[in-house]
Amino acid sequence: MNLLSISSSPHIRSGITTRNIMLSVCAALLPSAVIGMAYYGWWQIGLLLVIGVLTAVLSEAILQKILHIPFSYLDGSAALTGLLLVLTISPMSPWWMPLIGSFVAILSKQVFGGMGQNPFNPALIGRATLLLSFPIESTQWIMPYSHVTTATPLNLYKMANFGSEGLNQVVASLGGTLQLAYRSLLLGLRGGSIGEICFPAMLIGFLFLLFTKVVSWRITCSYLVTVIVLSLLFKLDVVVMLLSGGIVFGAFFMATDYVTSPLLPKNQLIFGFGVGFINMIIRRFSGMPEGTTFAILIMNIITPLLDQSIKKPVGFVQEVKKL
Amino acid sequence: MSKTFFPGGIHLKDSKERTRDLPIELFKDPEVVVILMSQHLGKPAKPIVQAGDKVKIGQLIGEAQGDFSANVHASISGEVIKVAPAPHPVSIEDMAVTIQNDHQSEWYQTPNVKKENGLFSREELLEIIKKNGIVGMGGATFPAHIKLNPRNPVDTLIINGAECEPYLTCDFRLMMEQSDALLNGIRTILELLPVKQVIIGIEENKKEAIEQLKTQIEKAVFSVQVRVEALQEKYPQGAEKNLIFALTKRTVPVGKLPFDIGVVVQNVATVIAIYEAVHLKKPLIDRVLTVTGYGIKEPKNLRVKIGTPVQELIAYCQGNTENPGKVVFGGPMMGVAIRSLETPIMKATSGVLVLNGNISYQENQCIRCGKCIENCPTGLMPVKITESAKIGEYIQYEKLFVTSCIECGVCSYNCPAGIPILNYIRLAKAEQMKRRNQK
Repeated sequence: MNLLSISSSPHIRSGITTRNIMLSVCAALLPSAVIGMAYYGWWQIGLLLVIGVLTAVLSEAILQKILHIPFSYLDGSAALTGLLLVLTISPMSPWWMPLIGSFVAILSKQVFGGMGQNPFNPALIGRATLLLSFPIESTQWIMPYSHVTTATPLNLYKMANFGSEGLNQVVASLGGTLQLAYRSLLLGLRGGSIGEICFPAMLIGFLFLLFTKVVSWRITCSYLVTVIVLSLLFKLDVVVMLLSGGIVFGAFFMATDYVTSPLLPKNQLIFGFGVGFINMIIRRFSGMPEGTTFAILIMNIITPLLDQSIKKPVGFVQEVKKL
Repeated sequence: MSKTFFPGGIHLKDSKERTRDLPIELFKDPEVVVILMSQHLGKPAKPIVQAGDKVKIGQLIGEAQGDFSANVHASISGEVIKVAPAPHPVSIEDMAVTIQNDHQSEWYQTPNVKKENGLFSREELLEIIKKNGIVGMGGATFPAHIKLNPRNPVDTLIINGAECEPYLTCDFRLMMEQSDALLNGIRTILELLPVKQVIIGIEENKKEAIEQLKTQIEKAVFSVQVRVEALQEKYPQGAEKNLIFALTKRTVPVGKLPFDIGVVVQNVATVIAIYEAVHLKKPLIDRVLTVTGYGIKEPKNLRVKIGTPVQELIAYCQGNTENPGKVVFGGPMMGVAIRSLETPIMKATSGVLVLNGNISYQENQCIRCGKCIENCPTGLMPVKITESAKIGEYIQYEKLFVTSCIECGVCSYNCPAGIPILNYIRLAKAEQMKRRNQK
């Protein structure tokens, strides 16, 4: 008897793959990358991007070979990690910084078993490593176009202990009037990491991810709302707090990482709140100028705990009520 | 606003365009039919004929065994040539009666049921439905005489015309071509089930059926309110519990059945079969199904005798019978892939799909995107069930409500990592059932 090939249902698939998703996120980061190159120099930033992405993909291939993990270095996730890392480092970074950063990022993922197993956002581990190992190279900021050395507006604000004096310094460094300063912050005409400065570019990418249903709004919204509320509570300038550091980039592209954020909608809201809260505490009370990286990494630790909670199925609540 | 269920569900490409406008065609009686004794939920029926016996159309050949079992009838007239196991879509092989067609097309005379004032009593109606072997034809094969005799009082009858599976158009064609029989079937059910309302739920991609039934119901006379509701095109809209929620906003509690909340759901084809059994004395010996898919050149909606070997249908619809690919009984989401082309058509075979058999799905590592949780119409956490099933962590199964899964397949369909999530859930489910029974 001629037997047919069989399989259990369903017999059709959506066609959405890990690679599709990873490449979508890469595409969403393109506007920010292009703006970064335009602001800080096509060749210089382009080189950093190429080094970061290539190192990430190569490291993944080599580490998967060494650690006997099935090859998946071309599924786009390594490239995405490299891209994310470069977009969060200083435009003045020497060429070996993305090299080390990308390698550490991929290493932090592969040692735990690769895709899906890493407790921490790989790109942020890379960035944190660079920040702690090479603090000077990691915190050299320049203005777009002019390439004049500057401090980030957040740093200026923080140096004056977030008083009105600090705000005045921010305004003075960004055009002189509050309106001009806000405009500069919005367009990213300030010192900062390569990809985190231009709000419209990041927003375009994020909206693309929202509309293609790659990410949900929950983590991002609860993160940003928490930042806004705490800024008001601490009597800080909301616009400066939101647009002067890495919060928007973190909320759009880092905190929303699938692997290191919780599964359930309710927990995603808690996660976003946690990141926002820790971020603001670090900014306001710690010695560090910026807290996005560590806020997200700290909440990554909480994620497995949040993922312990189990959702009740449809029809469960009703049963309890009856009893 | 058309109605729908939530949470979860996905929009599927409906792929119905090739057959939706083709009228139901009568498939000629085959030379040989193989009638399986297990075409329903409960125990297989017991064959009551032997090789050499002459049988006529509609003659009882398999007797129901126990409550959830159902009678099986001869679908053609002729000689029984074999009572032996035959290919079965689910249990690989099962007892079947093979009949050689004598082309006399003689009907077996069903003894008349006692009729008072031209009306049947409730018990008589249930007896007729039971005797004629009517089971749920949407796929679940639940015997109709049990479903229509609920323990609790019910106030709502839902007619399932959602047909949310892609490709299938047989229920749509039935609603278009046999709407009178459908409405008469509803009247018959109303005689034995005193409900307060009847709702016919149809997905909005079948606009013509919605319009036609609405017009007909406006003119017709019913003892209770009968209405047609358009449902959003969303899979699995036709799954019983989802359909009930979409139409009545009632939720079936975990571990309960629809009649616990006062609802009975019947598929369109089943209602028509009930009408035919009661008014035409016709047992369930044929059904309408859709033959379509990638490997079929001339897709069709066919009325086919139960027991027709599937290869005859594939050949009739210009499909490749040498190396057809993957052949599925039912829809692409919940249907069963069969292993032999000799597998006969059964009471619940709503479609024969010939799909590309060369697709292999590589299973990658979970990226924890949460799409399976977001889309699960039952509100389960498929990713967690998969994690537990992989390591046999059965303590978690109860907490994760594995037995509530309706196996709609949305999780596997959408998984970007290509993980056959539903397979893992089935493993967990089977294990959990076993443990429950041991207690």
